Amino acid sequence: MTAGMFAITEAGAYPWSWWVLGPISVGMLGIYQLLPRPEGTSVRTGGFLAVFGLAGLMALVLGGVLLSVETVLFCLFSGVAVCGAALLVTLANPARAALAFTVVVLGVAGLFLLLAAPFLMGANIIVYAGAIVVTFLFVLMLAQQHLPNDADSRSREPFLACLAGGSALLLILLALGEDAGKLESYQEVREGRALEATRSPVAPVRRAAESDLRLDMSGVPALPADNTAFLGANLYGRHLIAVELAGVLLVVATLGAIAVAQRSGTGEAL
Amino acid sequence: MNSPDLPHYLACAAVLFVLGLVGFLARRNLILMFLSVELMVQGVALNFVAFARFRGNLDGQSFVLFMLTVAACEAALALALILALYRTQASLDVSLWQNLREDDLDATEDDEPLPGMMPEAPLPSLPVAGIAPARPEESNRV
Repeated sequence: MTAGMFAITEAGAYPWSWWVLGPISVGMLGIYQLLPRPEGTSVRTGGFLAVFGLAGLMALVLGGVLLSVETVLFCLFSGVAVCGAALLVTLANPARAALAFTVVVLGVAGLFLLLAAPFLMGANIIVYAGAIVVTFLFVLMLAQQHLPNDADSRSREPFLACLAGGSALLLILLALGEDAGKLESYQEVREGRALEATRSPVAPVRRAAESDLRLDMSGVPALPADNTAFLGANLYGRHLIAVELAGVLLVVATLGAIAVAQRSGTGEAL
Repeated sequence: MNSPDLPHYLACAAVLFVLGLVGFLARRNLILMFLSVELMVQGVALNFVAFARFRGNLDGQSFVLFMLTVAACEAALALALILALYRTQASLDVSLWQNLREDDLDATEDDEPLPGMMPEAPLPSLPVAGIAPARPEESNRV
């Protein structure tokens, strides 16, 4: 693979961008086949098409990237996340779909780790896989319906939905390819302002951060290795009011959820 | 390039977002529609963290923490609402609430029967045995 749609060439031309239409349409056709419908889905055809589309998209997007440990891990985590997402969308049983969402969360958490965000990786797993999915499963158990039923075994306009999704994905990827083609603007992003990472009103943290300023091997500004400490300084330094507001939001949402979920007629019990 | 770069992460996030979009548009279970929205939120969070990484700026990661907070609130409220809706209709099917649609839209009607749930043939209606059914009076008596 010498040329992918994001590979930077001297010519500055990116003839590979439109090729992405192929895997997108194949993948969306697979999703369309897999979406639940009353006359039954063709799992084999749909699954084959979806996997084929994903593989083609990966080859096209990752073309030009050398094979390294990071590339392999990126392929692994993004593949897990996207496969989990496809399962979440297409599985008829909602409990299984909720478990597929856990797979997505784990894949995205792996990508967070690759992106130098270990604290967010942990927080993502704890909040999503640990709390939200479990709450979903509780509600699913409360509102269990036997298959087949109208809610799970039918899709609303599956073809139009896949068409909309495919067009959106095509436009986003074309815009990304176009943007990656503009070397100047892209270089600007890559050089970045590493100083911003260290802008913190907490003086000791700032001093420690300035000694941490460096670019890593690919010329990307390195984030401070002590992710949690710097994230905390950023959060409680620059975004203190937002943190307080988030706390208020949590309290209000909790009270609201209790009020909404109450059975009618027992309103005085609160 | 010897490692995945910013556009690769953005492309992965776009795929997650679009799959969530397809799920939200196509599925009819309220809980699954909400899970699809959470999937889109995951894609957006990946965007933020990728930009934070490649700009060397921690603000993106801080923003994702706030997104986690809002997602938790959203999950609590949405599940409470879904439970309240389920109590009135005894089903999670979103099409049961289609009387909230715009005036000029057609109602969704499910034509195809679900497998294993073929509509039962109408029972034959027979007169009760032993009682003569009421007949219209004939004009000519023989």
